[in-house]
Amino acid sequence: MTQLLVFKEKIQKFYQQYAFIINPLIRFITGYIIFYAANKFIGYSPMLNKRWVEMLLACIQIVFPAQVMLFFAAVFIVAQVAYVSRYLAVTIAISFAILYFLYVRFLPEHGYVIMAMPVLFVFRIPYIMPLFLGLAGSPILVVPMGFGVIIYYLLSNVVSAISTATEDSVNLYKIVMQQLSADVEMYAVLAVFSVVLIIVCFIRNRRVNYAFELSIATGSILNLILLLILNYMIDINIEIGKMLIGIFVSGIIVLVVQFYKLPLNYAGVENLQFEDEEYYYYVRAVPKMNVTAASKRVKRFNAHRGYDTDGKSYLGADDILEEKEIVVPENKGIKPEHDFNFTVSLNKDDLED
Amino acid sequence: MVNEEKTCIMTRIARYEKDIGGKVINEGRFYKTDYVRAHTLSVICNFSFAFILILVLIALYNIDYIFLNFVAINYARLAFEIFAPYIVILFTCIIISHMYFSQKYNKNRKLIKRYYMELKRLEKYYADTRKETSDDTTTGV
Repeated sequence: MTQLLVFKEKIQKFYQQYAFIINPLIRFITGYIIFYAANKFIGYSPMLNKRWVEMLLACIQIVFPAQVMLFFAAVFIVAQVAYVSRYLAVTIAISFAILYFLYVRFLPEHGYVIMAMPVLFVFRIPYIMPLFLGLAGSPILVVPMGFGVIIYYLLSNVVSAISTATEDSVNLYKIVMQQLSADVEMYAVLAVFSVVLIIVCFIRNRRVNYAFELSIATGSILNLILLLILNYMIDINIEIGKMLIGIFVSGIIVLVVQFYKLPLNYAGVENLQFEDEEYYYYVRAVPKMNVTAASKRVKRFNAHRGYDTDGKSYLGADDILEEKEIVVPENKGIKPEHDFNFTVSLNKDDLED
Repeated sequence: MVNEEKTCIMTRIARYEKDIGGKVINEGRFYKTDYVRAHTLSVICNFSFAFILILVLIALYNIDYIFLNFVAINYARLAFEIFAPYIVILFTCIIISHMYFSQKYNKNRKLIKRYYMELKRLEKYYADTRKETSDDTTTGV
């Protein structure tokens, strides 16, 4: 645990030092994952389904604000669908526009949750989302998570409708809507994820020891049990092996994120800029850190060799004969709260007193 | 020479601006009624756009029926069936958004109050410095 804390500290320091490189890099990776997932799921257009296109779009994300990424992702999906069915592309574009005008316009930060959900489904780890949102947010996040689930199943039904269609017509849209409204799996996943999110949120807020770890474990187990029960009762065609691995991996990822949540939240170095009548100020505000990795200093005193040559007095504390730096194995990496830098008077008069 | 105290105050102000956002600070200059009305108007526009798009989706879904019964459709009844829910939902949206943005305005005011407190400290600092400078000049004379 101590080593993990020290490692966490090192990450925090590293992030503070190289935030100007790490932040664009994270945005690039996020952008690449999104477009890679979109191509993997609905990569119909041979022009767009290329690695260099994904890289190029991810590079664009570095320059533009994060909200533009949502717009680009929506346009990318519509363009992919447009390659096979123009009618479906129009209807999907309208659906995205409705979602924007009714929801994302007012709560833009929820847009990331909506976008993340289909991406996680593609990587078969959607179980992360209810756990993570339950830990980091509030029960209201059920709404964007629900929209994310619906978008994934909408696209999933688009894929299945296109694979069986013989011609491009408005009827395709009708088929997709009918399939979506009759998709029992979607309803089951929606219900399970909503329950898990609320339960995780509830346990996290309890005043018990290890509330976070307990909520992750409970959420994962609840995910598994509820999906198994629903799979048994209404036959929702869930592959149990993949689901087990997905839930396990999701639990581990959320646990790691939870552990590093503090440095992730607070390690941010702020670059501020302002001016007065005399100067331009470019201030780099670095948050202070609490835990520091340090070795313990132990001073050794050898009192037996402390006699003066004339035999009248002992040697004082300044005449330390040996001083070594020792790393104590059990406390490695943690700065001790007490300090060993004390002084001892070995003066004969003091001792006699 | 850079003054350390002044830099600290200005840094704090810049951080507030960054945290609560320039938009919130700009909106703080509005009166509550103006703020709430402007946002409610935005809600009305967005909801109306979305409602029109939903109608388009419904029309596309029933396109075959519309083409087959284009003449036979009772348009007066259809208009009532469309506009009645539109008006009901719109009024609900207006009430909810009015409550929500009133609350949001009060919350933002608290944040902005702290920001203005820092600004006042800077102003006081400037006033003190000016006073000290003028005192020095007087003594010097």
